[in-house]
Amino acid sequence: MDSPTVTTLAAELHRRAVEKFGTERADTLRPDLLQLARELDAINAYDIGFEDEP
Amino acid sequence: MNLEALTLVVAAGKIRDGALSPVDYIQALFARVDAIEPRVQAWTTIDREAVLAEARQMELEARRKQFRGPLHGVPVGVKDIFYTKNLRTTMGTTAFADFVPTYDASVVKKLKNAGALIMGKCVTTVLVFLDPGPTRNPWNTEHTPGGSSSGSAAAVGARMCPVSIGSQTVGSVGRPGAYNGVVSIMPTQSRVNMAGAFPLAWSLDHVGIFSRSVADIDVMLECLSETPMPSHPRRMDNHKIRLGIVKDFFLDKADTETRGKIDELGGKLANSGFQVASVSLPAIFDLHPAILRTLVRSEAASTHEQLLRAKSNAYGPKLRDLVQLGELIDASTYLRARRIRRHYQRNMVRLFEHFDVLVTPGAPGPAPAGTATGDPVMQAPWTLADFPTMTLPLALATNGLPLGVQLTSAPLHEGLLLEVAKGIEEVIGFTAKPNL
Repeated sequence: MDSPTVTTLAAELHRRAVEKFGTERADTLRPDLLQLARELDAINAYDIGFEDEP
Repeated sequence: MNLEALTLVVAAGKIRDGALSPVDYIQALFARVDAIEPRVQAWTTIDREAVLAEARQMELEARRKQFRGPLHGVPVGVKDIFYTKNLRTTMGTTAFADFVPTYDASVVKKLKNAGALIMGKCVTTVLVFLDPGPTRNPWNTEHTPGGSSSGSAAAVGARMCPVSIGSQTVGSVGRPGAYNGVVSIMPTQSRVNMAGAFPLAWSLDHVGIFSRSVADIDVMLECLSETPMPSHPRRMDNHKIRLGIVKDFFLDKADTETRGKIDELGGKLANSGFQVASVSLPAIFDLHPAILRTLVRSEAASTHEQLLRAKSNAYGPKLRDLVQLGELIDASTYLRARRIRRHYQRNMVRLFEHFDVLVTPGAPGPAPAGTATGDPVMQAPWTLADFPTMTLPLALATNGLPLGVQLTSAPLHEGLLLEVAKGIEEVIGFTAKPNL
């Protein structure tokens, strides 16, 4: 069961995908969008300071 | 003399001694290509007339004892993403089917300066990602050679050339290295310049080398290195070498046979005097797939966004998915992933306070049947860390396909890595070859 932040992020990614590629393509990508949301959530949750440059 | 079986070091020595003609050598390799290329399909382009003309010139020079460099007259295959002046470079896609570069990639320039004979261009997967090309595994053509450096690894494994150039963004050198029973290296990114190669993800793209011995890799890396390699004592004393076998994650991802072979190797290495112990990974290791995939997706989107729209039919489905997912990631998340990568690298490099070289499987198992190029899971953590990594052939699996072992050192410690690899190569004593 995914956390609410992952679910929200997946919905936002789907919205962006519809905007960029159309509904049909966005729906095809839905399982990948969920996986992407999980990974972006892990990136966002990691504690990092301002001193850490890319 | 069985010319197709010569290693780079042996062939270069014979050419220098006048015992081997560069023309005879390349003609023997062309005969090998004629015999097995229809089954292996490792090459996209070989301009035989141009290669033979260059070999004749090199032979004249060799007779006069004029040598261009350590690779004088040695044929080298080059992955079809590295630009080669006046020689077609397709990136594995119809979109570039007729593209002929007007200059050489940095690596190709260095190879030519060292005297290498550029034999031809080796098959890459479509635009360097997971959609496979036509190449088959020389050990069993029902199986994948891995990718994306499919043709480079298969050509060396099939004895069509002694050495070749590939590239790795996630696992595109180590995985095909293991699957094709050859030696491979992915050096630290700054060690060898990627300029003039078609990118997948700039911050992760690395040049790679394939050969059939560690000594050959040593010579090639000396020729390609941007900076002098720090010297390490030749024939190092095994007792001074601390080897760490990484069981967490890596052995969990390997099949039973591969796990057994790695355990067996650990025992043999300890009996040969190496200090062998188990390694524990830092907590941030678990985040490596998320960091890596965020970087690859974002950077691939930046490379391909416009090309995908202009020539969408040239794309395979996996690359299309990758690019479109990358287009959805915002800049701040991409930069956050880059910052976390620095944390990852700083944490991972501490492993080398206790070990000189880390030992893991080269792949989860032998090359899978079919066309999918296999799982890069064994390489991804090291590519993200930018730690130099080699694979050596370890043993044959029960199905007759090779299994590989992977060795990793701290960044820019390729000299140490190579010397340790030579010792491990001796302990393994792998001599099998594909029956083509």
